[in-house]
Amino acid sequence: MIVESRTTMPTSEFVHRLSGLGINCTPREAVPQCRRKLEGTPQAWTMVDYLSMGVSSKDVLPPDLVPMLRASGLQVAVHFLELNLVRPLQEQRDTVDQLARLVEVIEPVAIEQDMGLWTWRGAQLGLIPPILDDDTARVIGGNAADLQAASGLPFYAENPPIDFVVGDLDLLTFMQRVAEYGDCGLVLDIGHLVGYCAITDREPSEYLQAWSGIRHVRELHIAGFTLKPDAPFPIWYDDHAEAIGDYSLDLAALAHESAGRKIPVTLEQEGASMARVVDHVTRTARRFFV
Amino acid sequence: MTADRYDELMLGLYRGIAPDWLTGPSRELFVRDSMRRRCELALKLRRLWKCTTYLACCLHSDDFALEVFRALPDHVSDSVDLTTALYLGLDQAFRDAGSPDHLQELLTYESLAVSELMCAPRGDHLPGGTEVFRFAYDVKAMWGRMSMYSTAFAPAQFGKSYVPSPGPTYIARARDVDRWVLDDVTHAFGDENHA
Repeated sequence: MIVESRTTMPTSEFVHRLSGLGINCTPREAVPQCRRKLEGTPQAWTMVDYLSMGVSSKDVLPPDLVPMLRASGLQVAVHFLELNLVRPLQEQRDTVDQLARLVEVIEPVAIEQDMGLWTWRGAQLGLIPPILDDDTARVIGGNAADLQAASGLPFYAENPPIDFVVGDLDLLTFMQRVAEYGDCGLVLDIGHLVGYCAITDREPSEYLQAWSGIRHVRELHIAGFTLKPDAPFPIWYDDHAEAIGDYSLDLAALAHESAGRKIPVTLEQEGASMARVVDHVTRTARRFFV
Repeated sequence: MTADRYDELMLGLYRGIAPDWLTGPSRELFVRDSMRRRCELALKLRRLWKCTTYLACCLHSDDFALEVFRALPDHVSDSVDLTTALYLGLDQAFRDAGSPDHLQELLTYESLAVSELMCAPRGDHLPGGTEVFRFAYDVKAMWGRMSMYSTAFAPAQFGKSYVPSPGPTYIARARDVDRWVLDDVTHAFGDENHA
């Protein structure tokens, strides 16, 4: 099925090496990001610690990617883009094997993916969020455990954008069960959480503060957003080109406080201007890591 | 089973049918998301097939795009991306509706320029490995007229009453990096028969 297991270490004993501030990118974009880190230009890149690299099975890695990563000292978290965590991985063998080969080359410190259905009949028609029930949590947890066992790397399941809710569990309870069933970590996407709260009439800070599953969170994602007023209530949509607001940073601070530790933060900002990116990196690094 | 429910959800999103087991606020949000996704598809249809979609609305109905979205899931596979599935859905919808020949030729003509299409447009494709297509009508004149009408949101009667000029027209296309370049090569063919 998947490449031979590289470790016999119990998954609960993974050392979570991802730390500090990260920015998202594609494999092609990673090379200039490494160069900026090496040269310290813009100066804000001296505060960047890792790249969250979106990888699909059809990607061809730039030939200078790995040498540049090593030279820059940037850590990498590989973010898969097409696995359907809500369905058994055995049905997706070819894709998993191709991704495993890419992971072996890149040598990240973690692997992660948004939960849900990404690929339907082989094509990407837009994400369907996971059905929030115990059965689905078990399937995703099982897949996470398999990915960890096969790769020897910690796997983090991320809450996706949720525009309609199906299932009898609330989101954070669901995520906690995934982490417990799979003995895996979680990525908490702040914007996706706010979007979910908007459509389920929850107050994000209260909801987050009351959550005991925060201990499983190994990474935060933050991005800009737009509000769409075409429903009875405004719907929050992630917009990675938009400015990251203080509200999102405040919720990230709350997550750190609840967890009792500094959780690595990834800034998702493709499409944003360089000036905006520099501002995001500087503000976030100074708020949490400097 | 959970897996089957994802199929129902995906089909429902593109066909505008909420599953029976989805109730309350979830159902309302599902319907909203279905409309949002179909709006994005409608934008894509209009962007890539501007004249074809205008004329289809004139000759069939304003809701013709719904027929395309209904056909879309039938054409999705791992060798077909969303753009190609939309094209195949359009093509199927025209054949199911018995659309007139000139509308189908307009679809072929506009499809020649769609760079991300993963299949050759259906049409009179000359043999011998060439990228030359023969059209029975003066397809360039038709496209020019429909382009003006669609840009102006002209009344449907304008499209309904349009009579295409006879051809033939021969259009060649060549790949230039990531796009198709079209060339009218009618002068090189005249109206000679092709095997």
